[in-house]
Amino acid sequence: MQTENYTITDSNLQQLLQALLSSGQKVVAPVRANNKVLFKEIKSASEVCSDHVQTTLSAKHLAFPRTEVLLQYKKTGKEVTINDFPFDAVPQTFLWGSRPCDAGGFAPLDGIFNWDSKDAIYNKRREQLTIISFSCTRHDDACFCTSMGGGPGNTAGSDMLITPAGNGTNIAEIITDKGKALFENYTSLFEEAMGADKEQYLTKIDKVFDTAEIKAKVEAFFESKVWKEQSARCMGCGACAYVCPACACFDIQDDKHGSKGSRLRCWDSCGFQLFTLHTSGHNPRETQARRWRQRVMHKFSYMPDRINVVGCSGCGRCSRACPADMNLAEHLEVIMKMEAEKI
Amino acid sequence: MKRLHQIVSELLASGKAKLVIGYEKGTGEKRRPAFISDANEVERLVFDSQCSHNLSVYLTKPEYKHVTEIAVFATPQTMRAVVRLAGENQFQDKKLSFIVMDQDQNALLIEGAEVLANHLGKEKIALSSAQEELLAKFEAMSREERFAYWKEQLSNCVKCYACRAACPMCYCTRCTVEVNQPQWISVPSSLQGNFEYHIMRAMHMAGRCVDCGSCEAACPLGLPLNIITRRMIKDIEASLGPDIVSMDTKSVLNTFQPNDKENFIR
Amino acid sequence: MENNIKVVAFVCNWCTYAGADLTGTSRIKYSSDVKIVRFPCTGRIDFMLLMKAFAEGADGIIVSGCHPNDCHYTSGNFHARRRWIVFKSVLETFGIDTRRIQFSWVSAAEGAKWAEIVNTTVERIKELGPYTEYRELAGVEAP
Repeated sequence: MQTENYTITDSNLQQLLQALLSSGQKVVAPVRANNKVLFKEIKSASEVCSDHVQTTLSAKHLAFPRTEVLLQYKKTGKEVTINDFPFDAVPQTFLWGSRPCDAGGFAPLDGIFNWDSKDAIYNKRREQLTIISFSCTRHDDACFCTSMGGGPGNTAGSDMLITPAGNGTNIAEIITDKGKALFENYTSLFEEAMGADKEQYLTKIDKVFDTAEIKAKVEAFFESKVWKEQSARCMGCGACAYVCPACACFDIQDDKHGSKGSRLRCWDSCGFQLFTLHTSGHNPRETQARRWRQRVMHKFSYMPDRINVVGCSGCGRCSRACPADMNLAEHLEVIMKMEAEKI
Repeated sequence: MKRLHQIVSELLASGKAKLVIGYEKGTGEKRRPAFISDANEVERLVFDSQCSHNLSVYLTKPEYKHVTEIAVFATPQTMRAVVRLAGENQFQDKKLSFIVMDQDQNALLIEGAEVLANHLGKEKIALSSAQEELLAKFEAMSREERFAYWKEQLSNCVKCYACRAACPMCYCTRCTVEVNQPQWISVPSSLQGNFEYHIMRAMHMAGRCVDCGSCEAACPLGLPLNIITRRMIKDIEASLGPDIVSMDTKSVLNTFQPNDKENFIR
Repeated sequence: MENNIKVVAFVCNWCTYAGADLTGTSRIKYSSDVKIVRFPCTGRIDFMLLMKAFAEGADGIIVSGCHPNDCHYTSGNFHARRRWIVFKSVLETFGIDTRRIQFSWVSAAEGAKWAEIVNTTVERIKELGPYTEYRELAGVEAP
């Protein structure tokens, strides 16, 4: 649909959130915990944190949980009962206060979970999810969304985008049918568009590289020693993948308890040594350098090739979370500046 | 810094070190691990009070196992870890050198883990007054309060295993969390699995933890993991005697005394 | 509710298991709420087995083996003793209810002591009730 513009005051915005909560809807929003900001289900509008740049974890768990119970089984005598995934129990969920890069992060996930076969569970959760993002008025030195084709006011992926315009007003953009449905339920809270250009209210993040250029570069440097140099300090944890809005690798595991159990889909990370370890003991990605190369290639080359979307929204979470200060934007910049003869 | 660069250049030139693991400037004001094997790159290296990574963690990683001659920048925490690791026979094929800072912030070269152990002295792991204060607060909590506290804290744990990866003492090639026959640690990211993981990790650190703080520093979710290890260090000292870091002391669970005291076994 | 509690006893083959045998042959009655699991030695009883017992439905746990200096393998129980000292401290850090774990030394000659240990432990666990607090953790999704 065509994006529609409206104005909404700060107090009406609070009322909108309050109305969603009062109507018993599941609302997930950034909440401060442990000096970190995390997306959590809220019960009251006062819990929402708004003075942060970015949450530590992304919002991907709303469509792709840390552990998804795919099915449950129980054996009684010779009878086996299997409980399929309860599709009807997936609640309608409103993600409130996400950033444009969070919303943009769902595009790679949508691509992966609909690539060859359509993942019914993921799609159900996605269908039930309405995303109300807030444009960025601040950023930090890990942010690089503009270099990934996004931006602090990018509408892609959000159902509604709110841009704070100062003086207690906000620009509200209704982007999708889901956003429209929400708008129509609470039309009285919105006012006519004021016609102001939202760009003036957004933070400015310099674009330092281009996704097409990166794709060409990383492919050309596949055999380069740069991977080894950059990953020298990588300790092999899964922090980068677990905080990433676009990382979708998972592991199917069985959780058995006597005669009953469940089949689970759990997050996994290509940074783990065990990720590609074969039963034979052979590991095709034996060193951290190969695993780092895979991470970068997957995001910036394989995913654009296969599903036509870059596996990164430039949110910078991996760089903030990395205990060894592996800064993705910095590493990509190094690769961009490399010349062919230096391989 | 000149003296530091000179020491490193000499180590690389003489072949006493094929690889130097030090620090460099990172994002913003951060310091981060730097790996250098070319004498032309020594200018990158820094060593100041902001350098906090325990670099000994890399010595047991598969990527550096085959490198024999390595020089490592060592903070006091790193020294303790190196001595413990040497005591656990992890450096038998290695020729290690260490660059430490003396009291006047001058770089000092120490060759060999044994010499480093002497330099460190037979040190007991002592907690700072701030750490003691934090523990006292925790100690004052009832059992129910502690359980509730960890339920809240561990509800944020995603088991990314950054704590394990950053820990110099976690060098097992196969960790209990990855064993699935039997499945020791519950697979789902439920609170139970998170309790099991952190209890298991604490037990495997018993008498081995050098209190370097790497696990807590590495946690992207900011979990107060050091409460676990520090409380254990204190309790071990109270019941089994001081936890001395040296190459010849066995960790508390690797040994025993026939007259060990307890008051709860009937 | 009271009748539904489960106590699991992890015992060593050489002393406590034989002691429990003696309890039986001496026709001393003791609570049937205990399920005995036989191990070669207390030194073999990994702390994770205790965690798993709680996870899988135990409300109380007894760990018992040879008295110090009586270990069939000379030092298994000495190692176990240290392990329990540390384990108890770690469990207390996490707020796990250590009143639900009873450690004891019961020799092959102490049939009466075994009955007494089981009965007092079962009694205490009945007072404390089922350990749902820990089992419920399995149902709580972390992020």
